[in-house]
Amino acid sequence: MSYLKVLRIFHALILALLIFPLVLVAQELNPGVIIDKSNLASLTDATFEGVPIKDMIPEKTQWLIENQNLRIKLAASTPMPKVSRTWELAKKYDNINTVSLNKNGHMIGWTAGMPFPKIDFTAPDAASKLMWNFYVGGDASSFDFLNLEKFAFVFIDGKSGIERQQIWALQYYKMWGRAWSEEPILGNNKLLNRKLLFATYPDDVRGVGTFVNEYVDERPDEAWAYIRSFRRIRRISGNSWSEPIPGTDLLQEDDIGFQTKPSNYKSWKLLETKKILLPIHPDMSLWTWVPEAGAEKTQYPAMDLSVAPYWHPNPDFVVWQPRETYVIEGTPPSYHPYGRRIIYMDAATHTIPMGEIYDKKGDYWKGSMHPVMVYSDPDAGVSLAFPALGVVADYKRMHATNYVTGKPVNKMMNTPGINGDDINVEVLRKGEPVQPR
Amino acid sequence: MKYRKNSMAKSRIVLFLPAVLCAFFAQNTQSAIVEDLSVSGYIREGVSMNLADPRISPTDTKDDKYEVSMARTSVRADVTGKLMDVNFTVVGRASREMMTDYLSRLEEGGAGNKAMLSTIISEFGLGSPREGDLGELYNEDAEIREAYFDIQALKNTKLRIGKQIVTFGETDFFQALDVFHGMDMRWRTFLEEPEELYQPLILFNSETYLPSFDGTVQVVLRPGLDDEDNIGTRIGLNGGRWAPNGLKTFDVFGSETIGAPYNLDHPEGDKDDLTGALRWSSMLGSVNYQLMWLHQFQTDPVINSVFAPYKQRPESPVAEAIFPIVDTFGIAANGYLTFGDLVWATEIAYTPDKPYNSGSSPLLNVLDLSINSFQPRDLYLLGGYNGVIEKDTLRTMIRGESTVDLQKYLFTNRPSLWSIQLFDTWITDFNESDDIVDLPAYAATKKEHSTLITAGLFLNYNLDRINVGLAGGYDITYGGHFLLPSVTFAYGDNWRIKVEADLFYPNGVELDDTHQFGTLQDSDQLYVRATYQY
Repeated sequence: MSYLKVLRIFHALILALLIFPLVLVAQELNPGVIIDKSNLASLTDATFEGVPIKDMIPEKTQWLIENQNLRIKLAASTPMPKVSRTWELAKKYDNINTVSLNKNGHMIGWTAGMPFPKIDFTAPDAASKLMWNFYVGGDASSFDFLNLEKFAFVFIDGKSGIERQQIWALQYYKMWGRAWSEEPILGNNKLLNRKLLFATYPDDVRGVGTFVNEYVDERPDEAWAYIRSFRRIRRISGNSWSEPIPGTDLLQEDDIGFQTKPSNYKSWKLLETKKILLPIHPDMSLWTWVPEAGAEKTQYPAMDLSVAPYWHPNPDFVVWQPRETYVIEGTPPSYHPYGRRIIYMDAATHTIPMGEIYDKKGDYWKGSMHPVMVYSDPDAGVSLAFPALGVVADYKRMHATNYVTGKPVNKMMNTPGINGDDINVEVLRKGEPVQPR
Repeated sequence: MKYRKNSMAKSRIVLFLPAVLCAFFAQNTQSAIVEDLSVSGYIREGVSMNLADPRISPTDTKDDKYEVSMARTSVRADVTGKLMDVNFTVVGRASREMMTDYLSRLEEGGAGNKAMLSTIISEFGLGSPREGDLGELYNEDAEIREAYFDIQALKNTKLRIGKQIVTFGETDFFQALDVFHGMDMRWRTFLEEPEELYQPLILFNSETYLPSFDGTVQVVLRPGLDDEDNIGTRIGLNGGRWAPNGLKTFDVFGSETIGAPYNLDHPEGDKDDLTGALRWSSMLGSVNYQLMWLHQFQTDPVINSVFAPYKQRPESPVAEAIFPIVDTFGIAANGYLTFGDLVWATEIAYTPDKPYNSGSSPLLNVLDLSINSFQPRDLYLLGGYNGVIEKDTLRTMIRGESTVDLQKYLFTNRPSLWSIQLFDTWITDFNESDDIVDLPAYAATKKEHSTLITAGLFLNYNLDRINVGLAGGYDITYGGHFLLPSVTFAYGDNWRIKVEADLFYPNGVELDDTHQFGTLQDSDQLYVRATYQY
């Protein structure tokens, strides 16, 4: 072997020794790092909490970072408070043995609590069970009465920014599966929920919205709307869950991640369970809407108004934590406008902080984010996760409707002084949320 | 009219008190007595233009196509709040119209002049008609349209006391069970939103939910404190832009000599009488249903003529228009069918002994005159002067509506709502010899069944910022139809712009066969309305 050859081999060995540790020891990012389009490509080999970043950012989220100015700020995973009540009730009513799915994917035998406390994730119905857990047992669903008496829909054009806002009320009263009351079931009508969702401002849309009787069995919803110019309550389609909330980018089912009975969808499939970066709003004292503030930036602090498309969560307000996530694919019925949807469900809280919607051709159509915050009710001795911000963005039209919530006047959860009979269609006629007596 | 001042004073006292209280406390919003004060409403300008050449009188020869027939400014304020823990609502509205050249011509011709005789004589070429005043018909001083308190009287009983609107039934456009309130059809006929046309009444309105029966019983009482102008439906027979073709200068219901002015003191329709309604609402399975009884003024007037008085002679020399109180019993229901994703609604209203006018020979037909090319018989008016006949009447409606996905074809942003409605009036004890006329003061006869069909399709674009409406109706019994294409722009929170064409196609026969759509002959309009909401 010639001298030069030996020298070359020696240099290669030195180089390898220098590089090898770098390859073995990938860059571990610190909390607080903001990932945006300027650094995403260079960080794909990096890790956070020991997990490769590229594995924790879904493909479509990466697309949003690269092409739509999404900025995500990393934060250390923090455990969410567990709502033990739903698990206690699952045990009390022996849900493991009494609750099941029928051939239509509809839940039967459920009284209250987490319906499927134990799931075989290899079984074909695993995703369906997870969706029912979300819908009736997850943190955001464990309210006996969800009282968002004043929140705002903010309409945003991807080029020019905020166009307008409307003020709405959402008042959902649980009739079946009540976790915080003496009686888990109210009435004998087999009602699951009584739901009010309606606008209160501006004046021409006051009362516009729906009242829905949702049943615990498979019968279709009963739904009504108030037609103000006719001073009349009007029956509307039982499939209104798949229809748009008028004037917004949302369908009725898009609210809070997914708001209709899972059995309304044709099928559910669990794609994988893994750590995903999900948006979390950590500071409960900071509400996402400050109506009395003047400037838009202070009125909507949770929205990234510094750069187009102006609807993403603000990284100074919303952080992204690695969360154990169920990645679920849902296929709606053929009459539905969506082709399929991907749901990222946080395993600890059974909330849906993120989602993707595809059209019938399979093209990406809408992105949704519902960063969850921890909402505490000291009187009830409970803290739970709830989305205080929603982003539903239509990437074909480049338009989004966000929802933001302000500090509630009355308790947001299980407000005293309001009962199920108060949540009725006549509230639409008045166009004002039900107030406690 | 001599009773007008007293009745107005009575009702204004009733309304004045809550308004004064609200105004007083509104100035002191820091006061803890008034809470949650909210004011909203609109400033609106509506302009319409003739798209056809209407005949304002039988001898009219001027072409009024493209004349501006309305320039109306309206301001509305809805004030809501809580006064010492009691919710209150006050809705006020004021409207003023500019007297356009066309309206001035109608006034000069006699519209709203309360002197039809002078108008008729002028048609003979003898003298000029007394000039009328359409401002009295169209303008509204700052009127308190509604003013009421909402009180939670008992755990399951709510009261609403004051001037308000209570709707009944399911029908759009027409009134089967929704006959508690009349409508003011004089300034825009039926084309404006019903909320703007209803005549609110001073009512005691209670609703009690009965949990054991899972239903609500509603009792509505009208104690008789209303201004007479708020009773009954006011149609365009005072002259004006919505008066029928050839009669736009004839104040039929205003003339106290040979016309038929309104009389709200008639024993069969006295505005001071107690009237009311009782309603039960519940669900049977997934079907909503309502059972109701209304004891109320019928919305359409009848002519009480001196030739065949109805219960008492008219106060005016020839005739008067009255609104008899009738009883209507009805059932309304709605439901949803998963098959076809169809929402259905139906309504049946039975009115025993409902008063109609009789006499299809027009009064003026006996005058076989022709002077200055005017023949009184051309009026084909003053029919129904042969008295009032009472007939049992059944009105039914059935409607279906659903959505159709036209996104691919018409590029809408969501599925479009369509609706079809069939409406029938059946005189169950009909007899040809009764010679019933279809419309008050008209000579065309009514058939046993009068059937109409209406349909609508509503298209939404640009996230509901552009909304297109296509509505129409067809008179199956007497012929004639109408079309109402419209587009509404809704950008931002405040501005709304509506453009609408009102197109009428009567059955084409002469006025001697004038039915509902015939009264709208040559009344085609282009309407533009700009609204600023606050």
